[in-house]
Amino acid sequence: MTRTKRLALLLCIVMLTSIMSSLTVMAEEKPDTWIADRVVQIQAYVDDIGYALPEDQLNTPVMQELARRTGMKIEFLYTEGEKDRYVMATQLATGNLPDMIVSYLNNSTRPEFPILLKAARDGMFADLAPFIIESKVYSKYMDKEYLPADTYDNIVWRKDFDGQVHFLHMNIDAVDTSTIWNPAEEYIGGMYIQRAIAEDLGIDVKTINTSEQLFKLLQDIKAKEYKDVSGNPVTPLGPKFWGGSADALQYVINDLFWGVSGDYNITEDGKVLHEAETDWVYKKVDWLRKALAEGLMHKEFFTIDETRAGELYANKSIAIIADVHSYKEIIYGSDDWIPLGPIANYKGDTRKITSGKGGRGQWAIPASTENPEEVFKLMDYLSSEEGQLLCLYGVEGVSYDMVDGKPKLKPEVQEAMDRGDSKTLCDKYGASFDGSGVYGLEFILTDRQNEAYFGEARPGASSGSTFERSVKLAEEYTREYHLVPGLPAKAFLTDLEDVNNAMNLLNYNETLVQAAFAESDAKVKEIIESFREQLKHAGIEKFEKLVEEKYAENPNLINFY
Amino acid sequence: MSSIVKNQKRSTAALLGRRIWLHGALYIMFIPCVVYFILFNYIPMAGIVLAFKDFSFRKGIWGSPWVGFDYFKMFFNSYDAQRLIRNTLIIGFMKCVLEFPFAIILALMINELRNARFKKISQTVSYLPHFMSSVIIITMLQRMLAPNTGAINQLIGALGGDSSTFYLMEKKYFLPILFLLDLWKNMGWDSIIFLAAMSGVDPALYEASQIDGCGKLKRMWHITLPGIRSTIGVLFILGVGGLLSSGFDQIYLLRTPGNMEIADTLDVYVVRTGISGGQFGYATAIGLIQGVVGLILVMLSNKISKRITEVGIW
Amino acid sequence: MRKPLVLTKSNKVKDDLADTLVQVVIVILVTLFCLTILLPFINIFALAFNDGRDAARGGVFLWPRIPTLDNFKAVFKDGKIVSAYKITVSRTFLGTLLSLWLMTMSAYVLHIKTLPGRNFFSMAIALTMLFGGGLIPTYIQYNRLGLINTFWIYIFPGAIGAYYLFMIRTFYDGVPDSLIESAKLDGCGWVRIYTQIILPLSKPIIAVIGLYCAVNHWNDWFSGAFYQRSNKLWPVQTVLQSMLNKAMKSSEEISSVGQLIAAEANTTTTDSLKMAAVIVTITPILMVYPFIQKYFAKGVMIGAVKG
Repeated sequence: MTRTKRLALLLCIVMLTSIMSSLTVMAEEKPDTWIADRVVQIQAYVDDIGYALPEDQLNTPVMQELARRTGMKIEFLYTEGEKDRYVMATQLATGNLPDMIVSYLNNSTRPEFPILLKAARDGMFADLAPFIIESKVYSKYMDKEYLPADTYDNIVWRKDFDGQVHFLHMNIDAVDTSTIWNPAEEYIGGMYIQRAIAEDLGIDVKTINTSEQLFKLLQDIKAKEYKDVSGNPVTPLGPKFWGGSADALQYVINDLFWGVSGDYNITEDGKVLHEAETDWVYKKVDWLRKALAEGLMHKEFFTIDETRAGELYANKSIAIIADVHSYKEIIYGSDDWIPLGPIANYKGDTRKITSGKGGRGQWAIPASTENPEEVFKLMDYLSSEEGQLLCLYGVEGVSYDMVDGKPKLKPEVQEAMDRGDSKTLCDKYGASFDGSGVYGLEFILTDRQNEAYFGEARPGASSGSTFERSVKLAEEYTREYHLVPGLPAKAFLTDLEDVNNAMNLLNYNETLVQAAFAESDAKVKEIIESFREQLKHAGIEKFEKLVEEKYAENPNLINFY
Repeated sequence: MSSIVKNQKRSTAALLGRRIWLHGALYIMFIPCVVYFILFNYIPMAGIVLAFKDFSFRKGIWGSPWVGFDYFKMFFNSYDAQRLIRNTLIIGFMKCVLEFPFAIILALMINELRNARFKKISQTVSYLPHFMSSVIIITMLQRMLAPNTGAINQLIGALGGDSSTFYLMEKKYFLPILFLLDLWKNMGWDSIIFLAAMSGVDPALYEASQIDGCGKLKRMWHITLPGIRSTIGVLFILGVGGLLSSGFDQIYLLRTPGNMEIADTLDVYVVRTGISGGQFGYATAIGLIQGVVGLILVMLSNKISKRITEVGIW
Repeated sequence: MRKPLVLTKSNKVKDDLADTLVQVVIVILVTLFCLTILLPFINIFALAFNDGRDAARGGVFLWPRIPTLDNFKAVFKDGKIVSAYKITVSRTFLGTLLSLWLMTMSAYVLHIKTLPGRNFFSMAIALTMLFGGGLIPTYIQYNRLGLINTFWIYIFPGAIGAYYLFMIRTFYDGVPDSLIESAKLDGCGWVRIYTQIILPLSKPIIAVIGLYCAVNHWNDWFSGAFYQRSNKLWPVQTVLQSMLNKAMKSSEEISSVGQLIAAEANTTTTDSLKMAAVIVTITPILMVYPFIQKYFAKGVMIGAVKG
């Protein structure tokens, strides 16, 4: 046979096989859920997504199954950078965007939001409104009762968008459970005390509810001269578990915070003020100065780095952790630490403040994306019961089995979850397992109702052993919720751009720390007065006036207590 | 008259033409460099117009509306402008001027080492810090300087002093700590270039001086240093351009509420205001201020240096 | 007023004594300086070779308490680091060669004092050190040049650094003009002067700038992170950076238990593991320096001139 002939034959074979295979595809009927043959690239501005991606994203069991059902596959792109939102701003500016983007967005006060809003106003995103109307799951978003007020008014159906929708909030619970304490879905944050010390002192940890009581407790601990594992003296109050920060103060001296709306509150005669403009600032500083002077508080409470904070706690050199939560190993790994408090708020209320149903994360389709309706349909499918099962539990028979109509994780999957082996979960199974695996697939869902759909709060929650104690703590130390609707006053700063820019530079927490470490009371006064002056210079009065007006208009807008 | 001028002009033009012709091969060799700087520096540099524009994601750099000098006014009117500039100048001066001689001194010392092996090892060791990320260095520094438990304080305590000093929280220690840290990190790395320059000094000069009975110190001063004069000059001129861009990492990590009054610099400001998160115009404006000041400083020092030592970068 | 050539014996002894003293002082100072560097490095090694959980208790300084190789095994278990190494080595090699070729050549052109336009070019190049368009125009330009998401993003941008260019030019200034003049009289063209006189004489500066470029290539994590869409072409430093950067979420960013668990699973990297990764990443490039040191031993250049 000559070379040409051989080639011709080869070509014939190739052609034949390709015709045959296309015939078989045609013969194999497409499922109802079919959308299009397409790989959707999603740029994630979410570090947790970037950290947990399968080695071969397009060929995990979940992606193969998704392609079988819809023809589509998902590929997450993640760009490492200083901060996710800076990466987002830069990529928006350069216009180099794939089919879809997702970012953090707990509510409209998050720092990502102004960037997204600007991009939407500049016409960077496709209008999703027409797709929502025809959708199965996202059509629920048209119901004002379904969405959280902030999501409805400020994110999805913004008045200034004229009926268009540019980004969608995700992870909305189907049913509002925000005021119900469900131990399987709660974590206990805030102060924890060494059990041994609490028992030795004979205190009931739940009865420490004011900063005064706490101060007394710290003094008692100091007086007992406890020793840590290497024989060094124990410091009564230590920094936040993740390293020094002034945020932890909200758990330590919660009753010295004026109100629950960030740094602002409203006086009885209707005047909005920053806490620094009131005497509350001095109450806080005094408490801190006294605690520091008596050696009740670790000196590096505000500045210590994470590694060294971890060492303090591993060695039990601290009696009370200012802030940690029940899903950290130090807490669930042993029963050495128990929750302390909580400290009540300034009105004497120990209930946990919630602003109601919330969401997490947003997605948008860049205007440059072709056939955006396909991307939208995929997102809508993923949030259906069928889609959520696939995203959260993976493929039946591979990572879970159906038992009594509910999914049950296979033992090897459960074991990998207990080990925290996210690599195996990602590469071998490709589902999210509520975050332990491919985090992205959980992040992009909405209309969540795990209990109703799957009979448990999270995949494996009913049989997992790792977090047993976390749940137990939440059962033992139940807390109540108190609903205060609205956003922190700060959220409205973006309405006044110049004031916002100036205020961004002022850091109240830093001022507090500065004052706490000042060498004299005169210096404290000087620091606080200077801060007040800077607030004035930044135009705070203009802002306070705006908030007063907004609040008068609708008190549910701002979460003043 | 005019014809003479014309002739002269023509002849200078012809002369220039001839000179260019004579250097023809050099221009060809220079083409890659020109192309490189145009593609990778000058075209992106046009983005400086952002400093005068209200950036719109959709309209891009050129389509966005002009705002004139708004960002500059905004910056100079801000409460912090004065303090920021002062801090930046102080830290910049420290890094660009005060630290400058130390790399030379280290190079001189290493150059004088007799034991070849010790010389080699110390050279290698001295440049190790360049490879450590700031995050790791700061953790170690915090550990060392911690009140009561840190190595420094324990030493002071053992000697009977007050061991509770919180170095990172006190304003007065910020500059010395930053200075030592930066020095420690860069001295070895920066000294490499001087060591290379020293290898260019004619050994015959050393031999002659030995015969003259010059001591080591004298030789360093009279032979080695003058021998690397032009390297010193050029590096210094290039260095002062960065006076207003004092870096971000170290300062940000060392910054605490206790020392922020003197630790806030322009680079830190850009990050703190979240400017990089969308207010591109403002960030560009601040970069432009840094660049202009840098340019003035470079031109000045170039001029001075050329007059005194005949060393200059143009 | 030159001193007599023949020194009296006592004088010589005194001078030797002074020299020895100077030498001793120098050795002490250099040793102290090196110690301040070595101690932290030993600490890094001790941590990297110690069990991670145990090291988190603190107190590991100069020697591992529970020695183990697990951290290194864990670093290599993740296949990423091996493929990233290939990227890093090839970019360092190619990038350094390109930089050296472009910069030695351009610096040579700028070194010729008779070149018309020399000052203009120098100034134009110096300007690039002071002014930049910022991230966005740069990104747009790279995108236009088709460099985004390719290996070449590591090679071309940054191939010429103004700072290094001036360093090289300054070094050339030390080459005696007479050498160039006589070469010209011998009928050498500009190119031959560059390849036969300038290049052989500038070994020390080529060594130094080569080292600087190689180290910069090796250490650069930013372009891997920022100009690549996926981690397929990441160099080791970007992999390391993504490991060191994994920050804990503070509680206000957390809104569900699922998110907490995810953050726990994905960000729990012990310091020991981080240190092991640091060692794995930087050791190869540290090895380069000792090899190039011989190029700037005293008198290398002059020897070349005479030879």
